[in-house]
Parts: sequence; structure tokens; C-alpha cells
Amino acid sequence: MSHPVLDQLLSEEFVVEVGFLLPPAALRRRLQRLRLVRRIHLAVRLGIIRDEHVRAFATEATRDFRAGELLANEAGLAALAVALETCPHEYAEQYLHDLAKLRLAEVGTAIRVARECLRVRYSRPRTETRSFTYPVRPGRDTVEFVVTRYGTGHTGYGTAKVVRFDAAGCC
Amino acid sequence: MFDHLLIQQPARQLALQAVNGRDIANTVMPAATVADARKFELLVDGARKRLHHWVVRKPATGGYNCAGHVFACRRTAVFESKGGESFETHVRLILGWDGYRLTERPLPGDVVLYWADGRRTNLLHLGAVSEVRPLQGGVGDGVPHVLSKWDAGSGECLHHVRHVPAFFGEDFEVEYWTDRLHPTGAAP
Repeated sequence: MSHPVLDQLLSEEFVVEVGFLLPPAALRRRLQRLRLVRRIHLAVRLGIIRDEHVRAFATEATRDFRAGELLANEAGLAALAVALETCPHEYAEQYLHDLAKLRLAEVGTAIRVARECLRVRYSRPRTETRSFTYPVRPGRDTVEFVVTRYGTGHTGYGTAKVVRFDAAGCC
Repeated sequence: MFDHLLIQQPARQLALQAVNGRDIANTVMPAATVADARKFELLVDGARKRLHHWVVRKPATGGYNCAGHVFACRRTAVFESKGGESFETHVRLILGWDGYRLTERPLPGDVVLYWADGRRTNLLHLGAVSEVRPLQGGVGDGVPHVLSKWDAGSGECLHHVRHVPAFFGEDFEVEYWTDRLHPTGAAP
């Protein structure tokens, strides 16, 4: 079963809020600014929305697919791609790749937004952090981090002092 | 996650070329649905509430997008190029291939590009100038009105060049392109 927050992506209110579907790069930027997309991104980072929710959403959003008709849930599919763009989880990567590799006009906009998200995802480094205490104590603890560039697989290592720790993670 | 869609027929394309014979990648978009028609009506109503006097020329329809309206006579939609260049780059390439040049004084038949901001890296939309209405008292060059197909599932609207959907923001910039020869006779 999909998550209730993800279900909002399929509502008429959300479709109207997104408005006309802009070209891929502009639509990605527009979706990034929507509050619901930011909420979903945070929920994924915090583990509230998980693998099974995303898979269920992908099934639910494409349930009404009919060849020869534009899919009504395109905006929702594109919005989830944007929300998952910088998430390190394997299912986020799979969602983006599986959507981007489709060659269907019925879902054309969502496919192009997913491709744009992958392009951006691979152009920036992915950072994984590790700490030995939880929660980390700002000003006292340090975390180890590993930076991996998706495209090349090149990695770098380092440590940093934690200055803040909140719901979104540590800084 | 979308394996059940892999068995569907891929998108159909048309043979489409620019004036100089270069191929233009395109996708014939599917038909608009009842949901597209409802969304279009709601968005037109929203625009009218903001006192944007959009005239609906055509209800929600599939087949083509804004670039397909301008470059392909409503037959197909134009997005990224065959070589994978972005929509923005592709539009600039097509304008060059078709011999368009920038102009400050648009006339009916010219093309208007809507950029997200002054950096002109994110293209929001393009439309066809359909009319240049004179200002009261005959001051200035008049106000361009544009015929727009907002997306692949929307209808067509005639509107003032600055009366665009709210999500275009405040910083958007317009650029006019024409295929008319330069007054000096210089090639575009």
C-alpha cells in the first residue's frame, strides 16, 4: 500500500497546483519548489516513506494507463522523481532508472523529468556519513564521510565536526 | 518498477525536417483525456480570476506541444534533439536551422520564447505571435498577443504576451524571433 503523503501526488488538487507541464528542466525546478515534494523528500530521508511505499505508488499511479491516452498521473510520477533525486537509497535509483528507460509518449513528461533528475544526480557527488554515537553531540562529535561521484565511482574520505543535529540530519 | 509498461508500443514519430534539411526529433503525443480537459478548464478559470483575458481557441487536445505548435504545424511534439541536447538547445538549433533571428519588434507570425529568468537557461514555453494590438493613442509599437499551446494535453489560448500562468513567476523574460530578413538585407 502506498503512503498517504504519496497518495496526495495523485489528487486533482496537486495536478492543478503543478499546472501546465513545462519542458523537463523547467518542470523539475518548479516541482522542487512545491511544499508537498519537499515534504516527501524529507519523509524519504527520515525513513517514513520506504521502498514498499514507492513501489506501491509506482503501481498505483500507472494503474489507469491506456495506450493512446495521456496518463493523468504524470505530474505525480514526475514529482516523486524530483523528490527522490538526491536520495541515496537503492530504490530511489531504481525508480529513476526504471522510469527514465521507458519510451512511451503517454508518460513522456514524467520520463523526461526522470532523465533530467538522473543527469543532475550523476553530476553531483553523493555523500554518506557515519558516526559512532547517536544522536551525535554538536560541537563534540565528529563524523566520517565518504563522497562518491555516481558517474565515475571515484570516492574520497574525510572527517568533520558536527555543528548541528536536527530532523533533517546533522550539519 | 514499471516493467508492466515495457510491453507497450513506443512513441510514434513523424519525418520532420528544418528548412536546411536537418532532421527534427519529435514524438506524436497521445490524445487528451477527460482529466486533461478538466485541468485545462480549471487553469483557464484560474487565469481569468487573475484578470488574464485568455481566449480559448481550441479545447484540450493531444498530439503536439508548444514547440510542435510552432515548428510542426500541430502535427507532433518537439522535445530534446536526437543527439540528446536539451529542449532549450534543440529549440535554439531549430530556430537557427530555419533561419530565424532575434527581433525587438515582433509582428504576427513571429515566435516568442519565454525564459525563466535573465540567465536564459530554462525555457518555459514558446508560442506564436498572432497579433500586435496598438496602444491607445497610437503610442509605441503595440502589445503582442500570443497563441499558446501550453502543454501536450492542453488547449490553445490567445493571450496578452505577459498574461501567462502564475507559476511562470515574476522574473520570466520574453524573446522574439522572426524569419523576416533583416532590414539591411543581411542573412539571419
